[in-house]
Amino acid sequence: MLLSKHIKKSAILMEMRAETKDEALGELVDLLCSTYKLKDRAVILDAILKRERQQSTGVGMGLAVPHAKTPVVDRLHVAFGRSSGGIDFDSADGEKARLFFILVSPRDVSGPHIKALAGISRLIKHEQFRDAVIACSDEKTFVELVKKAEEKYL
Amino acid sequence: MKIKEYMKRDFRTVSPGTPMREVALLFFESGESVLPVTESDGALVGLILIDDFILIFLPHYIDLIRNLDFIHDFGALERTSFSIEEQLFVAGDLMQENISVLDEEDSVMKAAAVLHKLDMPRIPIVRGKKLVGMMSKNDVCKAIYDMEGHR
Repeated sequence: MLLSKHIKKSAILMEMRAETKDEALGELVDLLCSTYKLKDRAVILDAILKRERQQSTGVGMGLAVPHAKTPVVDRLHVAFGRSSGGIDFDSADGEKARLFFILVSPRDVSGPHIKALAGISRLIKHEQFRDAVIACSDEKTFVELVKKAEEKYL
Repeated sequence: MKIKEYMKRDFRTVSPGTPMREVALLFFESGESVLPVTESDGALVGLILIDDFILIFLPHYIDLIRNLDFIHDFGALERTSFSIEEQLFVAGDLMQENISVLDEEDSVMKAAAVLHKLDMPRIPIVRGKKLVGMMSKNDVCKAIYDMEGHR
């Protein structure tokens, strides 16, 4: 599953307004719903919050990947947000999260969801990629960075 | 000959929030390739297949390659730490929710047919929504052998 093929430019937010974890999740779900015309915002947010309660998706290295499976979507949807100030996200390493990928998938298939999460985690392990995403200026540059990283690391 | 006479009643389960590392350890320790996921009341909510677990570690291009004979290793991927993945996945993320189950009152031959059709090594057995057993192809073979009078 190539992220660059799934993410729309309108699902990329280069500067999030959120300052707390709850605000960040709300802002990212809004981004998902507005970009992909998803109607069940409350259901999606509930699924994301339920998953966060099981184990924070603040995985460290400045990355958080809130995600959930829910019956109200019919395929995988993904969005990206960046916070230059960072947000406390209960991350594994205690550091603030600056880069956020949010994913929702239907409940009846697991493969694409697993592949998408695995792909994101594989990219973000590379410091060069993380630094480039933190420094990049616009949505177009972000997509180009992801494409290049996918060619190199996936 | 009913499933409940031959199903395994001593099986391991995980909850939807069980961390990936614990799921991995259960796979290793049990030697099973299918793990049931249950809620605290024993209700079955999904199954984790070891094939889905392995998906985490495979490069995305693997589906595009028909012949793996010319690949001897996967380079840097083989030396990668999986600490991020361990933080990112819990059992609920890995499980399949659209699963087939059988009732403990169903016949063993039905279990044989369903396991064959689905090409699954074992299948959850339920009473209502509650998981009460697991039935494997080996359990089916034992039941058929018994039926033939080889007790």
